[in-house]
Amino acid sequence: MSLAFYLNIVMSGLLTGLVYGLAALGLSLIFTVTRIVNFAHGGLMAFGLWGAAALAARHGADPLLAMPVVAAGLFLGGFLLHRLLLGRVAAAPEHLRTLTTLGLALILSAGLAALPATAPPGAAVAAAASPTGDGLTFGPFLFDRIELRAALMAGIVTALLVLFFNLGRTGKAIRACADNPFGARLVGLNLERLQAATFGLGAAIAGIAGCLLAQSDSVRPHSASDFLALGLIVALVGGLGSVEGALLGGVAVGVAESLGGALLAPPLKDLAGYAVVLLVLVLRPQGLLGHSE
Amino acid sequence: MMPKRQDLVRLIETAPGRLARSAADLWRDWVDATTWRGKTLGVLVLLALATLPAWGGTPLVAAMIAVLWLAYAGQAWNLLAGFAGLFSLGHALFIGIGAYLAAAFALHGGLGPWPGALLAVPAAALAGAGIGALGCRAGLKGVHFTLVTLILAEAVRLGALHLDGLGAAAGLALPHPATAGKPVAFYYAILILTGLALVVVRLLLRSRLGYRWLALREDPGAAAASGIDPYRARVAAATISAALAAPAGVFLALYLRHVDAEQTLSLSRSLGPVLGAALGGIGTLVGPVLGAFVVVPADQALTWLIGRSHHDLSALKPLAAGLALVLVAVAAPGGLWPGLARRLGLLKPPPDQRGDAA
Repeated sequence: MSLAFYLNIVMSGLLTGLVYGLAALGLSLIFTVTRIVNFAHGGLMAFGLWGAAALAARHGADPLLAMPVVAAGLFLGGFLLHRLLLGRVAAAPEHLRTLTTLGLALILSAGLAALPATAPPGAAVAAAASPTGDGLTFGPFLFDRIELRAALMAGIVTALLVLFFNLGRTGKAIRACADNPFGARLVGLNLERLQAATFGLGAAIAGIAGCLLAQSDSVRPHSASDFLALGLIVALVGGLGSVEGALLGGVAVGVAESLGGALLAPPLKDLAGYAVVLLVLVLRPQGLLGHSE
Repeated sequence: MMPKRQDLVRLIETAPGRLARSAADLWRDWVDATTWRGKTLGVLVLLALATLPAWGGTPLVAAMIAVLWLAYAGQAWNLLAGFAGLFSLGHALFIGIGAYLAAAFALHGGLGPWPGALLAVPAAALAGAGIGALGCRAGLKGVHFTLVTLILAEAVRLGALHLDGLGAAAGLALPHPATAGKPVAFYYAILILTGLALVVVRLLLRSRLGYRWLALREDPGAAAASGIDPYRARVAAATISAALAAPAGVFLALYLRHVDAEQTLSLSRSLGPVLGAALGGIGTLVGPVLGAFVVVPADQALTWLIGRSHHDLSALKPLAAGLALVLVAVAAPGGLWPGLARRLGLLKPPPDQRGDAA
């Protein structure tokens, strides 16, 4: 097979990988700032996906247009969840924090099962993405427009987050909370509120990742746990608690999956990400860009 | 890292004597710790369990098998999470190793399921050691182990779902031998296993290794400073917990006569022991048993309700489980057992810090 074939496979994996990176970004962000591993992350992503699909179906619109609504809703939900519930276990032993978000994950999955099914995205998305119905060629590359749109959006959201954390006052304050909670409180930062805001932000990012996936996917019974496993794999590959790592991990897993799907039997595509994480765990346990304690 | 051969031989030679002594110790603990009310209740429960098939109908025996199974699996999980401080979300993997090995030998070996059942324990122990080795390396955060267990169990589930040798999505169906339709034998088997698990865990807790686990759980830094190797102690805990979980899988395969990836290896299979032990009381010997007595009846009541309703209420089960976990974490971090024992006056007030024996 030609070089162009492989280049296209790698490129497609790269584009998907940016969306995967976004999925892990929220998880890593929440863990870094609040020391909570959010096992409900997959459920939040599935919720975002459902919201985007439902809004798109009702208004005949593009699921990407639903992104701001879904993100705002999940931010508010995540913020309140932390204020009312997770903040109470913030200082509790680790196993109690794990039990809490596991419980939330189960509650969310029950909620998802009770939601009315949405029509799979199809014609509307395809029409919005590519009015003429063809892909976009650029040199040897042939881009799938839906993939390209999702990757562009993921890139924009990531860039905005980087700006927020490096230039914004609130972003800097959140980073201070992550670096040194005690010191942050000492200089007058409202730790509880900033942690809640971080949890909301993480939930919103999960929702945006869900919206991006809504272009080509709909909520299935296993969506929440599949998304959770994906997010955890990417976070572990990149290094738990590293924002750059989440992106790198996403790209690594995305490329591995698309190569695995093209070169091996299709069912093995799902296992490619697991193979990558196993390799990383053996060779570099703290993740590609992670720090050991 | 691997234990020496003569150590293993000595361990096996001395095992019966140690187990007998541990059983006697467990008995003495119980006599020492309980009030008269606690002793009466305990004797009544033991008598009821021992004679259940004589007076209970088949549905009750079947329900009690489910209860005792969860108590056993919860004990294996609790050894790791409650005592060694390592929260596993992948015990389905060790249970699955037992189930698939027993099923594969029953179908192919021509020798029945028993060689598979014997192999299951070392095979699961090896898997536990591998996962422990990957998840507990120096410099990793504590939660790493949890994520590694979850992800590797999911990977094996996906693999089993696609491997034709393991029956792929349809799973493996075992032939029906003479034991079919005889829940009484299964009842006593799981009753004995659950009792044995209590004795084994009690023995381990009072061993050098057990004290290392407790020290590591309470304060890893201080434990390491006093000469405990955290990595070795934790890998040992994962190995033993996985080995304990394997017979639960063998039992499942022989009892249900069917093994498939969705039933045996899914995340919800891993969550069962977590839910039971968390409700009963993580880090206590009684907790997983008590939790199983709450979780299984609640689960069967919900099954009944869902079956009777005209609406699709299947979401009730994860909802109830999720609410229970959140409530335990927020309102009763020690689970139901400490409060129940105090409320009913089952335990004497400890003369000194008695530890986790009760």
